[in-house]
Parts: sequence; structure tokens; C-alpha cells
Amino acid sequence: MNYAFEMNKDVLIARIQNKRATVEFAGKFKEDLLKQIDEKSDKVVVDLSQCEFVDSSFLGALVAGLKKTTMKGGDLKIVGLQAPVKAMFELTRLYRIFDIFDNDEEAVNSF
Amino acid sequence: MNRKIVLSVPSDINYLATVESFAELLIKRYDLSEDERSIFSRRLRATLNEAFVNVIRHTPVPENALVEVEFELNESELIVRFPDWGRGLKIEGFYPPFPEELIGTDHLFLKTIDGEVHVHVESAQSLKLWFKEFNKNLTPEKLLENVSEGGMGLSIIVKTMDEARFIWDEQKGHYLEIKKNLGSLK
Repeated sequence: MNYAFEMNKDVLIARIQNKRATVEFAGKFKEDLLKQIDEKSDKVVVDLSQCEFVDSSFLGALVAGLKKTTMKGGDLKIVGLQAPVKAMFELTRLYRIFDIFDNDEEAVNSF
Repeated sequence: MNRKIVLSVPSDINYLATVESFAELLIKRYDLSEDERSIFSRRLRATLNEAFVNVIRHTPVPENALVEVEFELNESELIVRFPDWGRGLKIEGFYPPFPEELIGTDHLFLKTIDGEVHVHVESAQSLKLWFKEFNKNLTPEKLLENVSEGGMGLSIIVKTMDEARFIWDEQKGHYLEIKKNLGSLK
């Protein structure tokens, strides 16, 4: 599996379980993420701690999730950026619209 | 001495990681510090990913055609060329070769969260891409309003490389050419 969802209190956690978060599964992830937001919670944390590389397709899926959660009054936060992934958030300036935390606990408690 | 390497891969997303993996191999050929090597190979990997995805997802690759990615290793620069089976960018109603009156003009290509990708018509055959950054003081609310799911790929290429061009050549057809200035070739 490339990713898995779980609940922590009322927060939906999406854990990416692949070193590469890229176009190969970005479309399916986006579809599943938006469905989970509708069905479970508009408070979302995406855990990228296992990822070493992300591309624009995957970042696009995160943006879709952020737009959906904020539209519903919630938010989508990011956890666990390794240096190369952090560099992509900086390059694309996405770090300015996502709240980024070091670990789950901090992110979950920030809601 | 100049060196040229051609990577020929099926037009299949399963070969994306193979194309990306060339970044590290190529950067090793240049005389760079460890930090520079790490930064440049990361940036080149991102560019190779976006350019390959662009070719196979957004241009009409003929059935069974191979995507031939050309790497030209020059003394202080790396040039990468990706083929493009499309008709090229349409500027003011014209596909390349562009008419004389368009040469020297600039055109907005797409918008991203923090700026715009523009194309500059350099010649009848060449469009140079460049990035125009918006005011850096935009609020998070305004940024969220600007952000869209698509369009980031090309902006990543333009931001990470030193030069990017869409070129049309009578023999070679259309291609994307990207250049990165690097240290001496080893």
C-alpha cells in the first residue's frame, strides 16, 4: 500500500507509506482523501515522514485536500518533512499555506 | 570534451523513477561540493520527473514510440532535451514557426500560487520560459485563493533550472530544452 488512513480523536490521519509520493498514485490518493474528508472528518493531518521525494502531482492532491477541508471549515496539516520534501514545499511556496509540524501529536493538538 | 547520452524509455509512467534516477548519475560527472551535488541532483530529479510526466501525459506520443531524452554534458553546463509530439505552444493564434511580429514579445503562460510562468518569443523557433514572482507579502488567504492543483510542474522546471525553452526544429520537431549551469565536467 502507498498510503493508509486512520482516525486520532476526531482528526483524520493520512500516512504516506512510500518513499516516493508521485504521479503514480497521486490521482487515487486524491480521490480517496476527498472521500475520507467527506465521510470522516474535515480536520486532516498528512504524514509525509516516510517520503524522500514528492512531485507536483502529489502536491496538487494535497492542495485539493486543503481546499476541500477549508471550504468545510476545517484544515489540512502536514507532518514530518524530510529535507528534500521540505525543499519542494519551499520551492513551490506551499509552505505558506500549509501548517507544518514535526509530529502527529503537535498537529492533532493544533486543531 | 562534450559528451552526449541518450536515454530511450517507453512512454510509460512505470519508467518515471528510471528517468529520475539519471539525475544523481549525471550530477556526479561534475566537480561540485557535496552540498552542491545534493542540491543540484535533487533539483534535477524534480525537473526530470515533471518533464517526463509532461511528455507522456500531455503530448500525443505515438503508440509504441520511445521517449528519447537527450543529455548533453558540456564543460560547465548540463543540457537536457525532452521530445514533444504536440504542435508546440499557440501564441496569438500561431504555432511555431512564429511570424516576425511576435518575435521579442512576452506572453503569460500560466499562474501559480506565487507568480506567473511567461514565455518570451526569442525567435521563430524558440520560446524562452521565465518566472515572474508576485509580491512576496501576499497573505496566506490570498495565496490559498491563488493556488490551484495544476500548473506547478512547469513552474518547478523554470525555477530549478537556469534556462528552459520550447524549441521547434525542422529536423528534430518540437522539444523542451533545459539548461543548468554546473561546475567543471570531470
